[in-house]
Amino acid sequence: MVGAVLVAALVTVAVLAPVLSAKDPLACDVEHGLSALGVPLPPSGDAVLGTDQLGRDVWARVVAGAGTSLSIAALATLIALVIGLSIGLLAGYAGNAIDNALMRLVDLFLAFPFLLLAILLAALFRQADLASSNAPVFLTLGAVGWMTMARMIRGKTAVLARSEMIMAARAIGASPGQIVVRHILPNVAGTVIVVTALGFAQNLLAESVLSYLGLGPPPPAPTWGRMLYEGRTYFRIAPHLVLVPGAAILLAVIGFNLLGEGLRDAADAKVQR
Amino acid sequence: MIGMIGAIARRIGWMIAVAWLVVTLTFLATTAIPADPARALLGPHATEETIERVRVHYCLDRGIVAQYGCWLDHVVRGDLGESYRSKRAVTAIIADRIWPTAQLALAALVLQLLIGVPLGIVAALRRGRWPDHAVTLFGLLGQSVPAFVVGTVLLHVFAYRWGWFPIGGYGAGGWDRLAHLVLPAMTLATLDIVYYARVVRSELVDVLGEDYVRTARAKGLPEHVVIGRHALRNALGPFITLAGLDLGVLLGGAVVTEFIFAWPGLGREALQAILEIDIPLILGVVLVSAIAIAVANLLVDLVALWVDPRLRDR
Amino acid sequence: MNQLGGVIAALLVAGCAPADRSPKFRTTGATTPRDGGTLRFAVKDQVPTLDPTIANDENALYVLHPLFDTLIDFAPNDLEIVPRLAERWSVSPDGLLYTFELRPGITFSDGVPITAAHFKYSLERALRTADSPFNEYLRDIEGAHDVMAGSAATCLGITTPRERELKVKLAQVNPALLGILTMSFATPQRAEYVRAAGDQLRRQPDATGPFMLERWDEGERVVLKRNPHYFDPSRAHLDKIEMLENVASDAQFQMFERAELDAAEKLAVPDYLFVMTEPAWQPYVHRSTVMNSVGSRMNVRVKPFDDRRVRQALNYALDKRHTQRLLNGTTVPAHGILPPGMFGRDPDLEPYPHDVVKARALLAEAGYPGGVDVDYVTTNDDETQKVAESLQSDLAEVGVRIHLTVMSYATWITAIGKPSGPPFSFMTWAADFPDPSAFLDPLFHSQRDRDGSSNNSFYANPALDALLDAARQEPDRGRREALYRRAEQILHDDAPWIWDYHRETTEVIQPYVGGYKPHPIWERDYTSAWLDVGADGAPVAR
Repeated sequence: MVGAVLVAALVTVAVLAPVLSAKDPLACDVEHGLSALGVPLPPSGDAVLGTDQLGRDVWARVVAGAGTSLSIAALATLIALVIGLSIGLLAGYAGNAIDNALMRLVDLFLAFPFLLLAILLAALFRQADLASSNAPVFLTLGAVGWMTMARMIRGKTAVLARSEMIMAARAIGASPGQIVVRHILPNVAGTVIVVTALGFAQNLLAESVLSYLGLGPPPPAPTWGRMLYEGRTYFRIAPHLVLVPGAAILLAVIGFNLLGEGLRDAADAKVQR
Repeated sequence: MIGMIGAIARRIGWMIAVAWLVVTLTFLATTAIPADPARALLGPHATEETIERVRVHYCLDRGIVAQYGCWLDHVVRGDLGESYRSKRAVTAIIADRIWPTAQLALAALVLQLLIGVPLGIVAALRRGRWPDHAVTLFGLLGQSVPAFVVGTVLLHVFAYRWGWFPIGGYGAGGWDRLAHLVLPAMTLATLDIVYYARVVRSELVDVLGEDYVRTARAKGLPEHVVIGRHALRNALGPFITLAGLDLGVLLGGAVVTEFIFAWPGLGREALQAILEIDIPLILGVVLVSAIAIAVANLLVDLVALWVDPRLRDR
Repeated sequence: MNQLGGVIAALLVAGCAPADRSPKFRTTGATTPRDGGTLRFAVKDQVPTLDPTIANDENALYVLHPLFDTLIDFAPNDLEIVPRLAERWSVSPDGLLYTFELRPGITFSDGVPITAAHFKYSLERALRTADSPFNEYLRDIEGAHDVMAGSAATCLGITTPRERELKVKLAQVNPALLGILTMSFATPQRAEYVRAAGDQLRRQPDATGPFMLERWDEGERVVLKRNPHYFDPSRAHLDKIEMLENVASDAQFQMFERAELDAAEKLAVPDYLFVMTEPAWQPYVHRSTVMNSVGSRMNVRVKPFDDRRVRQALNYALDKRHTQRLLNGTTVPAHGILPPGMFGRDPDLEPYPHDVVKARALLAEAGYPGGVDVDYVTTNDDETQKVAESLQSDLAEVGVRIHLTVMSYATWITAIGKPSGPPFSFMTWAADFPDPSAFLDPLFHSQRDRDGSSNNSFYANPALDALLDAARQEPDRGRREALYRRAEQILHDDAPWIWDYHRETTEVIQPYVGGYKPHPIWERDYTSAWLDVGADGAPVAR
């Protein structure tokens, strides 16, 4: 449950961001926020966590970044969830030819080297008018992350679909839609939640990887991944630029991982009983 | 037996089809990027005339279908075209890069086993006590830290500060190569060590509760014989699945790690190719990676079929 | 167990203690160059090809110059033209006919003599090759057009009346021709060699310079070795030059500190600051201005940039001191496109001062009292993104709100060349040869806007065109300079760009590297460097 606490704390920080820091995360201050030679300032009374390479307040950015990073990861996970759930349910319930075809589709996507696919998609999505928003990032991550969900859901659904309860429901004349919604969904909910939590952690990490390669959210967005990217060249003279967002990412990812693991253990325990 | 062969044949057929689809989709994606490879290649000083001439040379002035046809033309003749940037045959570039990536993937896999298995054993044997929790924590950390942070820190501490290892690069064969391999392999391995540890732990925990183990213990057989013979054999199945998938993924290109350690592998080559819209090279790398992953998956399936006959009738 | 503990403790202490980062070696005090040794340096990217007719990137340049000699060259320390493979040359009074007399005894690296015909072949090869970026520069030669179009096999304007005489006839005057002919693509080449090498030519350069290629592990390292047949043995001292590829800047400097590399350039910020503030390294740091200009370009045909007042307002709004500080003091503020040291630059022209009030007034005058929203495109580079964010902040102060988009280099360069592309973007320009026409013509001559997209401001000013055309043809240096200064003045006022900065580069070398200074054109050219080491061949410890 440590996980739940961490996650709750993060969400609170994200929501309360404007209150937590008086300074504008986007306000550059080259004159006062940097040394004469352009070095970011270390933590001091004025700036609790120091300034970044454009003189912006790091505490303000990391706090604002909570909202942005979490929302990007959330949107990506949501997209992956919607796609994965739909395909998984359909494949598991319909079975046979449809199942085969859909699983082949999953295989196809899995055959793409993940990072290459992500890079290619990121490059692609940037071309549209979306280019100066965060859309390319979460669209890419969503498009790359739905396969696990699809497989797991399909597995569970396939088993459930052959169960006596479902046979009975069909015998009564319930429509497939009703069956899926009333009987199958509640039973796969556990798996969905676990995979979602773990997927969230994955997407947070993936956003930082994309940012590191220069394919993340555009400036001046204060996502943690982007802060890591911008700060990495200053590591040896201003380590706080890397350590602060790095710690934030670490805490968030650990939080969601723990949450997911905890939920999975709880679900397993239920099944075994 | 014939069923087996049929199953294998179907898998291989599907594998080829998948690789083909992957490359075609990638091709479509590259044509959708509104960057002109010829312009990027020639730089800002070139005039429209020169650019046009180069575009004709590379089939870039024609429609999508014609461009695809151009590329297919090359493939049918057994080559994958030339890289726009260096004019070097794509097959030559890939041949140069594939062995380094393979070495890295294998080394990472070995490290994951070497570290993951003992950790799993320790965690199972001391289940519920602090070594178990320590292993879980360690695994959790390894999963939660981005690869480039691990890589950068390892490089900074072990190569730069303490000088135990070289600061990136490929090295010249033998022990030198090994020295260059350690840090990047370790970086790659950190992420997934926990999976192996977990598999070993859970299989061991299951087995340790079984009757025949208790019988063996009662007979006075040493602990390690008991473990070695029964538990690990059961863990083999999931292990192979993990390892196979892992290998496939690793072969797909450990882009970030190769980048940090200046490792001349396929992943780094692919990243540069995509950023420069070097279409023949992109398609070549994607084709090879897709085949590598598909082959890895195929081998995993085959081994699983062999290990567990119940899966044979699908 | 105790011993192990002791070892670990010692290692930890060693690891945590501040390392001694001063130079590990020193000079021996020798004043005459010593022969022998290998000089090692590294670059961030990799070399695509060693074919001089095609190779155009700066990494290739560092090895091309030692590999290939041309008729003439720049002097080691400045921009004066000196003889190389040509012993002497003359230009006709009308500026249209260049005659070169080749030095006797010059050969290819395998000993085969070089003749004038080899130069003719090489220049024609550049004209004929579709993706040679250099054929543009030869277009003023008579008959060049026909070769480029494919309707002629040889170039009429290039003749070889005698075995060691080369004549180049121009269709119109081009004072930059000598500078152009120093570039590696003008090295002599052999038709038989090129044909025999086929598609391996890119890895088997036909060397004519003081060095030849020993091996190239692509993506890893290029190794050059001394050319035993070179006609001037005093020009090179090193046995080998080794260039490592694909080494990141910070890794480069780390290797340099451990003396695994003999030179390091393009230092990451922490390394740059360290080297500039550490007295022990000061004597070995070289700063030089490269021939570049950086700023933001605007499409002057698109609103709101079609109004000159808006463009000037943006120039007043940018605080160039911000850029300077962000780039750690490695820049010189720009007033226009020509960098310091370039002929034709007006040294008295002041850069736009930072004046928020004036900027706002101009915007209001132009009809944008409430400011305006615009998009801005920049490339995928740490520095440019940083500068763009600062620009965003500066412009916001006068009411101009920028929406930032980041693109890869390839996408950016395609997009800004189109009239329908992003009208406001990062822009940088570096010239291939040191002549103002290499800056002004491609960027601001209206002709180039039709020809290609290098004039991506789509700027068309007949007065400027006239000045540039006249200057190209003007043989008198003084008059030429005056023309270019007037051109600078016009462009400064018309402001098709936000003029921002010229970049300096910094290179640091080991104390035992002698005979080397970064060259204004060739940059990291180690051809004449030598290693100031002890009698045993190893550097002397401090």
